Amino acid sequence: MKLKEWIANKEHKDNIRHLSACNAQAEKSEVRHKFSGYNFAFIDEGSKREIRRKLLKAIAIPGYQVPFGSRELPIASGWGTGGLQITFSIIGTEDILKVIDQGCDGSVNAVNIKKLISKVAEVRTTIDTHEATIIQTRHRIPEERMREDQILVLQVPLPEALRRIEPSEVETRRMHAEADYSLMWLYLYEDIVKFKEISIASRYPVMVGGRYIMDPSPVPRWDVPKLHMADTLYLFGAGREKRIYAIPPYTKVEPLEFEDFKFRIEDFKGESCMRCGSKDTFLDEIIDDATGRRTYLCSDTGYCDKVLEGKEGKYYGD
Amino acid sequence: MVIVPILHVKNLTKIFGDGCPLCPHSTGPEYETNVCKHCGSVVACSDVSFELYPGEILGIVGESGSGKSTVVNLLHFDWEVTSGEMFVQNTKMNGSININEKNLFALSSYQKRQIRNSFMGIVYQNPYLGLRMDVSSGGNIAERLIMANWRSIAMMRDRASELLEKTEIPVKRMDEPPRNFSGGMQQRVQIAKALSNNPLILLLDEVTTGLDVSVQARVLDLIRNLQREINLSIIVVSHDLGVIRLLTKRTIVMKYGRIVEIGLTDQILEDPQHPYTQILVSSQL
Repeated sequence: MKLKEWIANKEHKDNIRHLSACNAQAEKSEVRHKFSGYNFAFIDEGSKREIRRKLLKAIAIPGYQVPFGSRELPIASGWGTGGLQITFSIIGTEDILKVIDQGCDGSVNAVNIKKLISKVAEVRTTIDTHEATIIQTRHRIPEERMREDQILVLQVPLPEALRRIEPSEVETRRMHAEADYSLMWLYLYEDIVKFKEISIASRYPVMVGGRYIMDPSPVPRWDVPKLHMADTLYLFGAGREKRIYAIPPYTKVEPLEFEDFKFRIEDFKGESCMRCGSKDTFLDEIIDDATGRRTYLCSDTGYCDKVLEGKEGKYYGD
Repeated sequence: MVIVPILHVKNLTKIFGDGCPLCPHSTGPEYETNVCKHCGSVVACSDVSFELYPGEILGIVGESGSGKSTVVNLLHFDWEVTSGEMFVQNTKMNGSININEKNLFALSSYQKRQIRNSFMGIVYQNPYLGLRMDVSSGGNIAERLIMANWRSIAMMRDRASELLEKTEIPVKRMDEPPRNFSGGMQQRVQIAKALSNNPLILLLDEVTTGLDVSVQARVLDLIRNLQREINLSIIVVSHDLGVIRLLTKRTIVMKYGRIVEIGLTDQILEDPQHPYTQILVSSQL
């Protein structure tokens, strides 16, 4: 058979298969859905399929930003729509969902996103990192070590790590293509000359797989080492900026550092969580306006609860 | 013993515009224009061929618009060539690619950048082209070292202070941006930056133009000393015959994008052959 015919035939078959899959899904969801007027997991099947393809590409090229057609959602872009679209595209009814915002299960954004997903995808939710199969997060990676069968979906406001130093998208794409990263290193050099250390607090640039410089989203430096050789698949979605990228499990992720100025995580100088007493977690500092007294709380509230109840999970680094 | 040229440039051509087959035959000194009358393209340089020998200082003179800066920009891969070839000989590059016997213009932009970083340095007439004015002078030098995969702050700062000392910039002003410096100092920071990766070939594009006479003399002295010290091969572009006489042994004279005369500097200045060179030499004040 000629190649052209073969392709045409295959595409035809694919389309039929895809349509029937969509129809089956639609029928199923019609039966299941309490609400009509939208598809299972809100986004239409064709769009979810596109996002899944882009996810596969992102996983195949760790750290590379894959452009995707970001869809309209019932929340404004810039409020976690990138993460939300990824979650919608990969979630199934048997998944168990956890959503956190700055480590907290109970913040307004986390609660609203969790409600939306659980309603349109009909999934069970949890605040236990261990129990969840998909965790959508903003600005934190959970304290408990995640497993191979779990996926962490990170919401990303600014996917371009080089945007700090180069405003032009054409130019940053060229820099990535040619691995021309001297300007990023120069930025760090200047930082050290000025402040005697690297002053980047969050969004610390990392080198993924020895090839691409990547923005780990605004997680604190505390969370950056968790990306290296992890058991878990990390998916990053930037809805407003229309980019998807990924770190597959067991990928080298190295923070940029000099031989004589090493990357270091936040130092809490021995302070502990006033609620659960943990000394080895990322702490939020709370300053009392009246007395000026500083107290500390775990940023990961799910973990804090677990420690309080005396059934903590596995730590990082032990 | 035959001396092998370090750099071999063949038929270098740069046309701005669409170009047409008639371009080379309707521009040049005979036609007294570099605008093609058939298609309106500007032939910035055409059919420029020459060799550069190890440790040699080669001059390129010509009036404004003769294509001398174009040649330097093309050699440094700042612009894409329209056609032409460039070869380097007996040069080892760190990394994987073997570049001997290869036309450097045909390489990928990634490889071109590696070549530029590992054995070329350039000093532009305008320091704003060669320096990042918001970044410290030390950082400007460090940038080149970072490109060569240096990753130690202390070592980079040592190298930067060594170079700044050599180019007579007070080391204690290392962390100031070049924006704060005078024109002559900026030019010397540019030279320090260009030398940081120990280049084999240094390209100087009108380095002393716009500096006052005493500073000019200091910069020229510096270049001569550096050349003697580290045996650099240098291409000097200038419209100033004084600079050419002082620095170079061999000179190329260009007009309307073509080489009109090439030879020993002394000979060209004392006994110019081409009518244009004769005018150029006789109009020297």
